[in-house]
Amino acid sequence: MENIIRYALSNGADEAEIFTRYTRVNEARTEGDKLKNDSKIIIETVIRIVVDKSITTAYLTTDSGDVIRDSINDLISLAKNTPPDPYWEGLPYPKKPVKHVNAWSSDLESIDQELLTNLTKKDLEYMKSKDNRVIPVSIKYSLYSTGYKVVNSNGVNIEDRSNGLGYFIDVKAKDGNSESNTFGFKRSKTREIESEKVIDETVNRALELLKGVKLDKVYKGPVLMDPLAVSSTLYFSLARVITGTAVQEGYSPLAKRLGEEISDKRLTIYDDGLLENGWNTRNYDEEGYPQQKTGIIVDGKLVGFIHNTYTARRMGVESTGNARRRESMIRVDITNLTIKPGSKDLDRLMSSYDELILVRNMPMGAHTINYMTGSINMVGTELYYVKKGSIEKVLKPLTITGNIYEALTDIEIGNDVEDTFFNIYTPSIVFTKFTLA
Amino acid sequence: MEDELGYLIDYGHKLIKKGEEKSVDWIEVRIENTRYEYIQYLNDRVKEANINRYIGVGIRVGIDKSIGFSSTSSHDINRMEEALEEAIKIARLSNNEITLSTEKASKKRYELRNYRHHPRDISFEEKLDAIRKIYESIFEVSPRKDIAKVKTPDIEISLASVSYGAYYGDIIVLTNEGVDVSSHQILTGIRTTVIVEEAGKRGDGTTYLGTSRGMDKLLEEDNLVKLGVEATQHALEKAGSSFAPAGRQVVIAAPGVSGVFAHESFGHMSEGDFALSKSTPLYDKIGETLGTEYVSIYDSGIPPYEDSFYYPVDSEGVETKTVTLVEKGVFKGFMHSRETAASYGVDSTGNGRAEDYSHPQIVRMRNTYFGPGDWGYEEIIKETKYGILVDDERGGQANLDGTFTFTASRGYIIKNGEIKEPVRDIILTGNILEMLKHVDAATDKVEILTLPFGGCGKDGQSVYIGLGGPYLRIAKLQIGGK
Repeated sequence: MENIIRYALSNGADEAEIFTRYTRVNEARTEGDKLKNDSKIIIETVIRIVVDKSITTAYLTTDSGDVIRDSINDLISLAKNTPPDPYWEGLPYPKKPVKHVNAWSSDLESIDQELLTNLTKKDLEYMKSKDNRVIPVSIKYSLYSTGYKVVNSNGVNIEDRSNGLGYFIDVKAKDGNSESNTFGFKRSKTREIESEKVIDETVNRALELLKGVKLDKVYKGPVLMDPLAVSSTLYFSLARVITGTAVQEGYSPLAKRLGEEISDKRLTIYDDGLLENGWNTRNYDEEGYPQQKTGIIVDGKLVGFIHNTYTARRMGVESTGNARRRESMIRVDITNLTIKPGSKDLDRLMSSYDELILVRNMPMGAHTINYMTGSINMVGTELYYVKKGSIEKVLKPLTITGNIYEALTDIEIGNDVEDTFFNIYTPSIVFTKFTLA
Repeated sequence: MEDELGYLIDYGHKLIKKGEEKSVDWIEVRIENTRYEYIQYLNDRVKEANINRYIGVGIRVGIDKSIGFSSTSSHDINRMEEALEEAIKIARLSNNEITLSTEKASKKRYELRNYRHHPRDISFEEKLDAIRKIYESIFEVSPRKDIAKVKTPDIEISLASVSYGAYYGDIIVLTNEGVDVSSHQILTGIRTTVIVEEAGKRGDGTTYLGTSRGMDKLLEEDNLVKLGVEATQHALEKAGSSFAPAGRQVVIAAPGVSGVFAHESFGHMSEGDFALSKSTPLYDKIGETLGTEYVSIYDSGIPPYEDSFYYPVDSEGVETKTVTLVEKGVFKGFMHSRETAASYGVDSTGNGRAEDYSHPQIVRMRNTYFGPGDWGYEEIIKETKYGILVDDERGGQANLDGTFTFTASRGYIIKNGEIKEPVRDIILTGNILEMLKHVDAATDKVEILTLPFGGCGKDGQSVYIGLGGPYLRIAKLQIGGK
């Protein structure tokens, strides 16, 4: 890779960066009763070339030296015809990691395709034995191993690796004319995925949902969201507007509110790139800058944003190690967003209110939240009416409306922190400013 | 690019021979050599200038009614042979009782040639000029009669973005059954986004242009200016508008919104794999009346409408057929890959698609749309006493039980047959099987929208699609909101 950098510089680039990643994915899954397996090896090379502050990038699914050199020549030519970016202040410089973290689990090395296949078969039989109203739609195990390297013309030369095991089930239940559909998931850095527990919980929820009844009123009281409901709501709103990009490009409503109290004082949020056993815990981000723990909201006050090198320098601050790549794009994204837990467990939270509605799982349409304004219009599909701490009835789907940024100003936070697949580690939270109808 | 394709095809034939030597019953090699260009002009500068290249091989083998798949993006024949070994190993492990439908083996090259300008023949400077024309039109053309320019003390454009994307290249499918097909895929498009702030209120506007017919439309000045001006107009309109009244309303869905109903909600429910697993309530409904006479829904690789997504052959080398999902309200059948077709004892409909070489084929849509009715646009508005016209779909979510929630960015109240005040961020919720019973009018023109940005996701795979329809009137549909 160092040779490639030299090649780029000697052919007209002012700066050059090569990112390579090798990923192996093994999957075993079911579609109905059918078992499907596949494996893939993905080779990715991303080249960033700068000529006179003009930046161009290429993404290649190869590590072939000839193709990389061809692309470098294309990019240099493209950069020479591209207007300069006035905010560009160079590629990152080498920096030592804050502390050494290990994102590689040797426990997962012994898992192979055969084991995944056998686990999937076993789970399918287990799920089918649970209740004859249950239809297994899909069971999926996914094992990934990835290693990446970043080299640039400023002397950055780092490599890191990680692996993980993911588990997902999609379950349908049918009883007469009543149908329900839900899913469960777990991911782990060890072989202990506890799939039967996930199946038990998901199947029970699918069966409970068959009993849903209509709520014949507009509800404006406390709404308790479980960790997955909270994380899906925050991922498509807050997580998108705390980036340097959102602030600088004009779509973050928080752009001018640094230092202000923007939420309930009980809310503290960090982006923690070094979180122990965090799914995105690494030594370095994807442009080779050390990951770290960054305060976003502390005791209700907005204290910071997350950055890659470009957005940080444009704002006159240090990168927070949040550079993430998606093909040729270098973005700013959360690593592991953590919400500080409160003191109450789920039962105590539920019994703290005369009545409330519990929202579980990911509401439909969470991804359509208008993160620029905070306007929410989504549909809760797993809802429970709770009276004096006890679930009184399961509800049919309801529309959840309101504004997430306003809603964060009056909340109560539980202590049941969970890892969710949105890379947000959150407990359940009670909101009081949503309307359900 | 052509040279690379040549040696990859050569390797493909070698892999097929190698597979036969290893006694596989059946082998398919899918080769991809495609590009994706992306330029984003954001807030007065080029933010992205990217060229992506996707080169790789996916190998599927069948052994004793069991199928295995593996892939590699390596250019090395030895690594490709390792992928073949892996596919064989997986097939033996899976024991999945899968058979594929028998399809006519064809040798053919598919390429749409009814355009003058291919993106690879247009220089970066020309593309950038086109982008700048749109960008300038965001600011310089008076979007409203009462202001000379958008840059007034009260109005601030906080974000202006023009994105250009072009996907093109070749996909080759070879099998030991004699399939030897290649298709040249092409999809180009522009997306313009504007955010304005006026008197403390925010509004956003987005316009699109997408086509499989090269760069011709993307270089026409009138089209470019329109993309910029309308994005600003929509943003200003939204900044000054309120939410739509909640409750059950008469809704007139513009073609893009009709398309979301056709694709996201009804389309996914009509995919053969969901029918097989009985996860769609339609699995036993063929022949039943689901909607009114104005409800006809199709999925086609080559629909007879301009600016659709050109998809003549699927990732299994099967020529795409137009599938009639619903005809005048009656459910006609499912979309199939070779696998689901075999289970149903029918031919594949050419819906076996994969995101790229690294993914196995699953049942996916191509262009999904409502068919035309017999109403004129003016007529449908005039004949509506009170309702909401909704436009500019922003996606949403649909479940396999038919429930959905979709967002339309813009809308207008219709009163006594006239379009009145604008409304914003309209949430449409309901169940498609209920909704189809209330479609009481459809216009006589169908429009299809396709774009090279994002795509439709399923099982971790994203593919380009087209969606559309006529203006559809739904007599009763739930509008969410305040």
